[in-house]
Amino acid sequence: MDQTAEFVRLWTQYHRDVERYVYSMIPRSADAAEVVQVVSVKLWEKWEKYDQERPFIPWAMRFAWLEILKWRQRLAREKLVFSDELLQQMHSTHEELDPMMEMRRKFLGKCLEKLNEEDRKLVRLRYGRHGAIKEEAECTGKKMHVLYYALERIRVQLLNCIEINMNRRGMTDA
Amino acid sequence: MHSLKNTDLDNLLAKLVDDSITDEELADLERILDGDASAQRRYFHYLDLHMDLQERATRSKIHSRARFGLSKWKVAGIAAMFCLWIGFSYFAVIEDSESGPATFARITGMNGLIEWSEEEGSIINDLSVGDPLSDGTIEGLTSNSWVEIELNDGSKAIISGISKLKFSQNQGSKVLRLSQGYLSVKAAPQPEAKPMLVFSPGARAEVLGTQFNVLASLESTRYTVNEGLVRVKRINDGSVQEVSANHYVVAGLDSEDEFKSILLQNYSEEWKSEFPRDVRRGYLYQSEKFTAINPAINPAVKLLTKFSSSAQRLLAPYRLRTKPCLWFEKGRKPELHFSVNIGVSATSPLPVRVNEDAKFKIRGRIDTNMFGVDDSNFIIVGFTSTHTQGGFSGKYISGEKVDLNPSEKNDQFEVEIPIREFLKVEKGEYKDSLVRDSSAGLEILDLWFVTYQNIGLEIFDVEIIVNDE
Repeated sequence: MDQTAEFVRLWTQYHRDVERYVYSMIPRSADAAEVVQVVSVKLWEKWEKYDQERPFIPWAMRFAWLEILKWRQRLAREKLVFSDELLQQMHSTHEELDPMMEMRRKFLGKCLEKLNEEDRKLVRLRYGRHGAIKEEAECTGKKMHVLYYALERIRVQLLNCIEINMNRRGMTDA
Repeated sequence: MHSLKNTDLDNLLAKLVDDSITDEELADLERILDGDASAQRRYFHYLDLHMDLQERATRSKIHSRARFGLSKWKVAGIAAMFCLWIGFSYFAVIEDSESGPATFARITGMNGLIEWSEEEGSIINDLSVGDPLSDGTIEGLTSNSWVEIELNDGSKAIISGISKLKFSQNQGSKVLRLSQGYLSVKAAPQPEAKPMLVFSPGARAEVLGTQFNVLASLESTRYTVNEGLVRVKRINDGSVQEVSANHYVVAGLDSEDEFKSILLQNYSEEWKSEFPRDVRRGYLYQSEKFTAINPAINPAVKLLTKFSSSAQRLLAPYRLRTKPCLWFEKGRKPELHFSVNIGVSATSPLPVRVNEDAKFKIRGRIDTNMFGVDDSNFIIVGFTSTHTQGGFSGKYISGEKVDLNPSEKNDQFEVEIPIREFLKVEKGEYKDSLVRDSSAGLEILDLWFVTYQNIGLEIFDVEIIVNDE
């Protein structure tokens, strides 16, 4: 297979996992996006050295972890979200959790179906586009913080639903 | 059981993902997470849920709408991902709507990377000529992107370069919102009571039937009218100008100058970059000289920069450093390059036109550690041009070898490139060719620098000067 095409195929398939990981370590969207961009370039630069017999994700994650550390070194201390110690702990926790995450995502679809229409609409607005929640607040006369509180409740409801489904199948990451 | 601790944690996580968390709350979050594996698991689950909600339907929508098979989506998607990141928060929506929204317009021509975000949130990268569009946002992602759209009433709109335009309808009026970039409109006659409305940074325009161009930066908008009449309102003070044919008007977000339309003959042939106003791509750094000169007032000025662009200029000089970009284009080998993009007419209050005797004067520096390695002193300089009456004209490029003397440990350079040395890029299916084609009289939209090795190129400033020798 053409090596470029293979890289494109793998990155297309797995870049979301790298994004999720980077975002959880650097929970600021713009910063995380910058780091993911640099990771993508690094992966391409090192692509010739990649052993294609081995899984792509751990290889990519290793670069992501190194780029996260480099990014932190460049920032002033007061701008960092987590301390170095906590970041190390989080990195370890993420490694333990990783195998279960895909299964959790599969349950999310079912859990979304269980939401009532009003809650589904709110989620759609929140994740649909910028400003939609504000417009909804203006149209309905509801206060913004009430809508955001409702979103917080919905997320917890979805997390609980996913947890119940995981437990039913004997899958737990605790 | 949902514990009290989880409630506190969930509350903080909600604020984190909704971008409303304070520094104190971030410190609280750290305290809760530190040494508590259970809280850390909750953190990952919560953020993963948040990102999953952002991604789900976009993914399924794009796949279900792909008309060119996976490869084209791969190419367009990857290119967009690598080079012009649109942010996690732009991804969207949960489920398909059962009935499609009403068609509002149709694509009649396009080039480069174009992205369409439907009003309900899904994002589509595999657009082609003939595609119908409903309410939503169309975005040009690269300097050479352009797309022409024909609205249902026969009006035509073109966006060029890095641009973002949202379409909608409000009580029978067509509403165009240009948040950045370049828009050219030929509006069909509109009902008098329902004019076409155009919103852009600092301005709002009413259009009944005319041809006009809009150039929007983050701080201001320039409306240039070629036919008919456009009524432009400056938002910050409500002043209104009727802009007639061959005139333009500039509305700034915080401008207090007299708001009046100017004859189109007024344009500039000389120009000097001003950072951060003109930055369109690149890492912007600030020289430490200012801090060294007067460290006491630096924090105060820094604070002021949040509110005032004038204060930002006090902290100059800036350095604009190249960003990496991995570029995939169908049928071509991937290309890794490092680039910056600087707005010229795109961000300047006055149109900047090419004088055939003009030259670019560029000051910057490169990393001397890389100097002498392969073509590490080779820089490609390019600019995007538009026709003065509107519409994308073409890209022009020139290569320049920077001379440094390593023994002097001087990493800075100053080069001058006559504009007549720039060649026009003719797009080919597999490779581009360069042709000699004068750019005289065209408007310069933006300017970019590219290197193929990471030589840490930093641009201090760029001038366009007319060679009067």
